[in-house]
Amino acid sequence: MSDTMQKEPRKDITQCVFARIQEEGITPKPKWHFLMREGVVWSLGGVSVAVGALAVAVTLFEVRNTRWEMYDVAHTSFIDFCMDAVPFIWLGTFALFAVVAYAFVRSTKGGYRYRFETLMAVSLVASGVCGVVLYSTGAGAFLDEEMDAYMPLHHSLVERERMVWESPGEGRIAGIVREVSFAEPLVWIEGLGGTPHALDVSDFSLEDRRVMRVGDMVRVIGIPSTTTAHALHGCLMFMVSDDILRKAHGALQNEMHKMHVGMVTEPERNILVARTTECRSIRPYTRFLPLAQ
Amino acid sequence: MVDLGTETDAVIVARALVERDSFAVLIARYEAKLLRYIRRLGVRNEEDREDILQDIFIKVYRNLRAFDPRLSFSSWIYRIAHNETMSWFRKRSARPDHALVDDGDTVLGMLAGDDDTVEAHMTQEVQEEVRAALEALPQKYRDILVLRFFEEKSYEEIADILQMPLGTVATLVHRAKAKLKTLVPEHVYI
Repeated sequence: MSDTMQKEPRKDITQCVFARIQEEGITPKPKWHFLMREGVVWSLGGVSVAVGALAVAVTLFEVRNTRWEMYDVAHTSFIDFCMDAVPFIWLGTFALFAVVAYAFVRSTKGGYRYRFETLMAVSLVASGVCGVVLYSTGAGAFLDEEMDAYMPLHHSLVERERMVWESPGEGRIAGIVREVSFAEPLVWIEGLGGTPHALDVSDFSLEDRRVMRVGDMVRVIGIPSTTTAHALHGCLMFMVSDDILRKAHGALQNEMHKMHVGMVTEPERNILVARTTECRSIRPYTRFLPLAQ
Repeated sequence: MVDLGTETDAVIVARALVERDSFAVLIARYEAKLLRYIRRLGVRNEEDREDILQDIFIKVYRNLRAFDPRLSFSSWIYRIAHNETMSWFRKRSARPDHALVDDGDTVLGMLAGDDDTVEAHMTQEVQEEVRAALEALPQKYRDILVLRFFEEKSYEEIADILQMPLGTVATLVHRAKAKLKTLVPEHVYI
């Protein structure tokens, strides 16, 4: 039906509006109200970008300090290793907060003018760039360690190193060389948890044992012992120069604080030649052996 | 009161902040347009339309200082009208009851044509078919066609009213027309 055919006369809208303004005491909201709202929304957008940046910093730290070349020491495949090593929780946090930042910027006064792709790209790039800056200041390493206490799904690199390398029963030990015996093929290593482990180094050459000095930090891969005389029959030894493992060793806590964070590890020195057929079953052996020949 | 009849909306907004009565000029300027727009958005009952219109003007008055002079006042008030009307539907859990019946055949002809300027003269029967197709369109397409063809808003104005990027407006208009074509019989196209 057409409006012109309505039966009752139309209200005087102006009169009605002014009557309501009068009765309800309506006044225009002050300018600061809108400025404050806009400021809060922009700030929340900024906070979201900052959280995304922290996630990027931790991700960079974890990815750069993960021992990718040793993936098959404790994992059956590279994919299996990636499932443990790739910081999905931080990548997820980064993605989530990029979307949250987008949502906040979109709800600012002029935010609607920009395409989703544009705002998302700006949000991702902003978080990415800030994340790189934060990583270079050591915030990634700091957060990676500190968040252990607050995020149940997060395992810091230090914690992961402990889980992987404090496992004589699985054929893996890392720690500080405390005693090298030349009379018999035994080396005492103080593990990452502070426990001393006796290591059978009969498969190591005399030269290798000379290289191994008291105070060195090493990773050893071997065969779990069946006797009580020692914890592990060593097959491969890696001299450790990375600070992550040093951090994982509780005895070096004080030393750790002196070290810079956000570091990249130096190349490890590999002693690769296995001397008995027993060690040939050790998984990384076959991969490392050709390099030593 | 100073004669504001020939002044721009932005000037009247500034004036209304100092002298409340000037707001009446804005009401007079937009009352009919917004009533028609609310009807086109699907509020069939006149009393409901008038209630919504009052709420729109009250909201505009409350938020006068939020008006950004870089935008056109028309786009801003249409945005408030659109949001208020949609909010009214949500509160009532009601669906828009479209009432495009009073619009001339030119608009419906433009919609049925291939571009925005085609003026087609359609028979009553064809008009009905286009109208039925329009009313069967999803809300987002119908909203954009109402603004583009019935309210004759530019893409920039639609972007400001519906708060979406310009490119999205163009895409939606294109898609809405394409969708409309799938809903009307072939003999409608000229």
